[in-house]
Amino acid sequence: MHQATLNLLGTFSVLVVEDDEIARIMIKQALKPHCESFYEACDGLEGLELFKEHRIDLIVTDIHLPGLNGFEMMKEILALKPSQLFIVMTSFDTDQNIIHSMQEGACSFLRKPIDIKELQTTLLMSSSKVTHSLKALSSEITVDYRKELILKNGELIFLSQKHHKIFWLLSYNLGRLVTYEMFEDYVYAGESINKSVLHVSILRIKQQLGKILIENSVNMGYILKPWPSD
Amino acid sequence: MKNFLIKLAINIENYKIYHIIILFTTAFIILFMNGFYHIREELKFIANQNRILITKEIDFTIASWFSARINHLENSAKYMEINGVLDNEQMLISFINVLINNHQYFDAIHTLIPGEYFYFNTRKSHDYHENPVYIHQESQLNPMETEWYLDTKKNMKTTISVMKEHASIKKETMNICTPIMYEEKFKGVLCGILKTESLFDRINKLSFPQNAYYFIVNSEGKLLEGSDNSLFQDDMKEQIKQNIDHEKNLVQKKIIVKNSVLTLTKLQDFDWYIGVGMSKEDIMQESTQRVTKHAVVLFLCFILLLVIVNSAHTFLRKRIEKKQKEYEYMLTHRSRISEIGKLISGINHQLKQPLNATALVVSNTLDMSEREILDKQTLEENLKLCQKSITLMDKTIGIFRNFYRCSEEITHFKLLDCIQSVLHVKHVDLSRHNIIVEVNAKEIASIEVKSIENYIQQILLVLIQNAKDALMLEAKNSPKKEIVQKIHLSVFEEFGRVTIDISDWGCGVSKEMNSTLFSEFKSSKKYEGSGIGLYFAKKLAQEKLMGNLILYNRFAPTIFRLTFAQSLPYKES
Repeated sequence: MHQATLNLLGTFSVLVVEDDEIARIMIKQALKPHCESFYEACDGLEGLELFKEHRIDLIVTDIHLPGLNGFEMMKEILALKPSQLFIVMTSFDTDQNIIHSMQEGACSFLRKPIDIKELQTTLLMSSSKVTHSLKALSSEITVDYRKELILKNGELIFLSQKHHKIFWLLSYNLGRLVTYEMFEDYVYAGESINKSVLHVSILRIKQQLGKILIENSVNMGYILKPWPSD
Repeated sequence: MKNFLIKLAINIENYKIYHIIILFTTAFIILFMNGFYHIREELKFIANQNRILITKEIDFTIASWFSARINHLENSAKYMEINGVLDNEQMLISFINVLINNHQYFDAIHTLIPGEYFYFNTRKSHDYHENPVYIHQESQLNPMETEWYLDTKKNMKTTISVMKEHASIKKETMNICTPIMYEEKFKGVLCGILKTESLFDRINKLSFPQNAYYFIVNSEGKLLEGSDNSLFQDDMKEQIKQNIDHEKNLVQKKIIVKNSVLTLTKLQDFDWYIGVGMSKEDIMQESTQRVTKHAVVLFLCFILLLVIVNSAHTFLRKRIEKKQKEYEYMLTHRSRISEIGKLISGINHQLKQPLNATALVVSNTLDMSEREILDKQTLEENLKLCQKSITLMDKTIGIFRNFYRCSEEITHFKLLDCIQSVLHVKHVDLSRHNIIVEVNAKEIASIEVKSIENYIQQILLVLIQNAKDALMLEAKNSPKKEIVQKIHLSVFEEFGRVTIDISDWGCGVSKEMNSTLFSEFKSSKKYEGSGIGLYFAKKLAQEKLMGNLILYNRFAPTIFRLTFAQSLPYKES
């Protein structure tokens, strides 16, 4: 594949979850130079942690993993970010695995042994799905989902790290309830929080971003509602 | 009830059957002995009765023998009295002649008429008219002073007396004497003389049972012995005498001397007794011998029967065992073939991971080389990785090969390696179902075992397979439930025994299944039937590894516990 083609991946951040060390090294060798950022994990739990810490566009994962397997990890991640893209690779191309992958929302399925070019191609194809990403949350605020950028009247706005995460968790689940547990899981690394702390953070975010539609659902969580378009 | 019987029949082990057989045999022997004893007792009783009968018979025979003679003599005396035989000597002689010769009851006849004459048979020994005193020349005996004459005269009735030596006969005799009356006055004595020896000769002519003997005894202890009598001993005589002395009015008496039973019966109207002796043993012996002979034959037959039945049983059992072994062999063989088939496809998958890695390395290196961004260092690193993959593949093949070589050799090995080999073999199957196996690897890294590695692996394979099946079944039965897709192996070693607990949180073992879990060809039918099955696993553990396999916990988690000896002795081949 031509270098230039591969450079199309340059704006994407990729997470590879694979328990076989050699395979991981090779995928890293082949992808890292072309990606914006590259993360690797050897099991599902590590993958989940990396996902929570970083903005990740594409996740390439094996199904059979120690600790938390591929499907379980996908379930956890999709609960936080429903739009997350996955590429599943496995040596066991049973129908059950394929169907399961479809249900869990994988956008592509790779059989082992994997040819590096095939992986690159699949990544490129999948990346095209990420491109559409701008969304208006109010008359002033627009967000770029792919890059996790917030634009207020065309200008970039930066939130503190915690607020950033809270905001993006709400954004990823636009129109859906984000429960306190989800906040705890995603933002606060699983620690239980005082609701008032979260409430204060939400108020700050609202202050900074103006009139976006974050609503409190009593004792359950918060919902970010899409801006009613014209 | 039926179920109970079936259960009972199943639960009876071989050794219990032997116990039952031994018990029954003992009972039979006791019954047999008891029967034998009772028959003996019965025989004794019958013999006793028989003895009494024989005694009575002899008694009666002898008594009637005597009474015949006595009657004859008394009648003769009466005849003499009525017909006045004494008045005519010629008539007397012919009468005596008739008396002697007619019945031959007596050896000789005495006719003593005091003051008249003394006849010995038909010979006139003395005429008292010639000489009122007669003394026999040789013996110096005066008939008028002999016991028989005096007694008879005194008692005025028939008497029996014994003469040590008869004057003419010169032998011991028994004289039966009766008084001759004439006009109600004592006139003389008529005597029948019997030689003692001929007396018994005559009696012997009567037929008697062989094992009895007899004798005649008077109240003073004068004893006339029966014929051939070695059994009759001196101390017996004493005993008899004593018995007679004690009871004057004795009519019949039973005396037991040593092994003999003597019966004394009084002869009517006389001071004489007829004794019949019989050996207790003699009468018993014959019949006892016969009974014992039969009993011994019967017993031997029974023993023979036992031996035959036992050997037939052994024969049948051996045949059945052989059949069973063949069947087991066939079964293991078949299950092994299916297992091999399953795991050969497993090998393919198992090789996928290193193959995948290798493919990635090669394709990546090629790609980089094509794009001319491959430096020497990366190339070398990649080639090394490639090598590593190939080594892994080789190892995989090695493990599989060892696993199915089925060696029974006892070897030294590290338990962890052994377990990991099994997991390696099972890896594909488990991966396919996303099941993880946990082992406390660090703790057991140092455990070394001297045992049959392959058997341990086979058993672990079965257990892991079962655990996996249980997890899958649970997933199928309750799809909404979150299942811990995990099989936990915990290994520990103490007192020379290694214990491996295999636990899962799968469907568990139901109570009904629990009873048949380890029984033949059952448990594995439920699932897809892979591996040698729990029955064989248990058998292997017990028979080959000096260990056991038990269900430790039925449910949540299901725990199977395998124990085996850490060090097996080397077998002599």
